[in-house]
Amino acid sequence: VALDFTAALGQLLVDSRLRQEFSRDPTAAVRRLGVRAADRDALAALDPAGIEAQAATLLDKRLHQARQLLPRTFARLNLAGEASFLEYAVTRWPTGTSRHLDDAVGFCRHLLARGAAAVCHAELNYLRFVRGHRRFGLHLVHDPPVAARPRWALQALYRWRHETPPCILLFLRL
Amino acid sequence: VAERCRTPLLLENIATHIQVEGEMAEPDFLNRLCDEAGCGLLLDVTNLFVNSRNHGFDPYAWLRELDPSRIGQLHVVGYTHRDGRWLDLHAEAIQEEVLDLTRAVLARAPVPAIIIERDLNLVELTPELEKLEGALRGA
Repeated sequence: VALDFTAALGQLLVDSRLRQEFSRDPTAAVRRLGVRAADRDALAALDPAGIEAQAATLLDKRLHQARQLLPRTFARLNLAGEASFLEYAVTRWPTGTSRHLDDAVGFCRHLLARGAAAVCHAELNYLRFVRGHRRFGLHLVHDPPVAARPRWALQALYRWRHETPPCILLFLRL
Repeated sequence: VAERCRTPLLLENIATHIQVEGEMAEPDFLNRLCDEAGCGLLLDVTNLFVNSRNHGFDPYAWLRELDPSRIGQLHVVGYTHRDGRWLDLHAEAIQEEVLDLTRAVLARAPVPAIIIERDLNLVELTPELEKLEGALRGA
């Protein structure tokens, strides 16, 4: 099925390689995308720098949301946080109403797959719980956000209803 | 959507770095969209401002083309100017140019709500609130 203008623009915004190709040769990139005939000229006439700026803005907003959801993880990453997130984010673009949660969890997975010690497991457990449907969650964690230094604790999560928050988060120090 | 939610729906004008040749003028599009969908407009004054700078148009002329009766809420924050582009990063105090534009909106539309969209570089917001209160009084 041929893509319409909006769908094709969406593809350009989430795919950095495609944007590079578009920047070199817009007509070829539009042809490769399989855009419907009526929209090809309008798409090929777009300013590549504008598309790049728009993509950067979207990535900035995702980074901001991830920082909000993973404050301790980003604090541990320190100055490497932004670069690490962008490395993850340019190839994965979650969609839908829980996309920011999906993004934060996906970023943690990305870090864990690379052996990074920065992931705050208590944050990750919480986000997974909020994203899921279980009413209870119990985790043994070594990095509770209530402790100034690492120590073992039980993280207990309880969902008040079968909805996303409100939920209760408790840490029991061991 | 409004019927399903049983609450008024407001659609927001976006900040965009992309311009499509031959497209309908944005105020015309928003007027028609609101008319035909029966919804209101959440006018992001900063988005309007940064678009006017990035695409070289007069934001006051843009405003004159917009149906003011559709405006149900405003978003305002300072713009960021970086690498030759104006951005809406929710990171700066409201500048005088954005405040002037806000005053122009308020002079045309009795807006029931204004939200300061500040997410980054958070500081004491009282001066921002005072600026907006001044703009409201001026309108």
